[in-house]
Amino acid sequence: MTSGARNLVILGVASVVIALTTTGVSLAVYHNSGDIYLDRSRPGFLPDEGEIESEYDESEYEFEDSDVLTTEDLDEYLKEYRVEMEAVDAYQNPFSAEALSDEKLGI
Amino acid sequence: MKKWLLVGMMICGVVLSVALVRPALAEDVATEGAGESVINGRLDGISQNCENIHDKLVTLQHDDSRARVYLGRYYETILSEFVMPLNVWMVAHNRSDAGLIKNQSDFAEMRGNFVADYVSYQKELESLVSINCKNEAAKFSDKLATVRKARAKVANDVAKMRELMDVHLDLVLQLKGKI
Repeated sequence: MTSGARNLVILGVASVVIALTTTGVSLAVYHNSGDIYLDRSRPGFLPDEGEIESEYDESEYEFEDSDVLTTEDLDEYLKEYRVEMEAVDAYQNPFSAEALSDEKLGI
Repeated sequence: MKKWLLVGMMICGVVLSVALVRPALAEDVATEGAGESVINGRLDGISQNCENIHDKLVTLQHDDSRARVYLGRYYETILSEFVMPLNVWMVAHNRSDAGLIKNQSDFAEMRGNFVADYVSYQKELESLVSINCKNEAAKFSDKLATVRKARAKVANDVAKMRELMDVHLDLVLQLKGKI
């Protein structure tokens, strides 16, 4: 093997080792930071079909660039705000203890 | 005579204490035995239904992930589209309200706690799912207790977030009353 060919092999092996190391470090950081548990794009945790389109009913309120805040402005603001509150309430018993009870798990 | 009386009293005392203590001991042993049999029955239940329990936990992981995204998205919208813009407008027009500003800071802090507690809970749940419940039922049972505590913390955060949403509503209604 010529020295050029040997250097090429060393370069290839070094590249693979560096790539594996950096990937491993990235995955460790991804896992240990807890980001993995917030990521729904990982396999098995993808949103159900139609979930993104139909589930979220978000509203917003924009304040006008005026020096006066009227009761009508606040009524409109509260109307939109209550839409958000109702959406939060619509999710029944999130993280309830019952889901992990012996009965529910069938123990 | 006195000597015999003393001996008789001592014998009576011994007989009485044995009579009183024995049933109590027997009761303790019976309770202990019943407790042990309940625990053993539970561990047997875990071992026998291991596969079903595992499937239910995996489903729960997915459901919780969905709940976290759903609630997290609304918390974000409420903070960035309602709570903050109102305070920004109030400050820009020299009408800042200490209650509204404190509530915004509490809301942001609690949202951070919700995410942190959710991550801790999911780590515990993942480690529970990885336990072989068929062969390590006792370990699984102990871990399940830890996961339940972690889940209760998340549920508590959700309840507190809801309270802060109510506080904001009340503060805006008070503000409206002052106009």
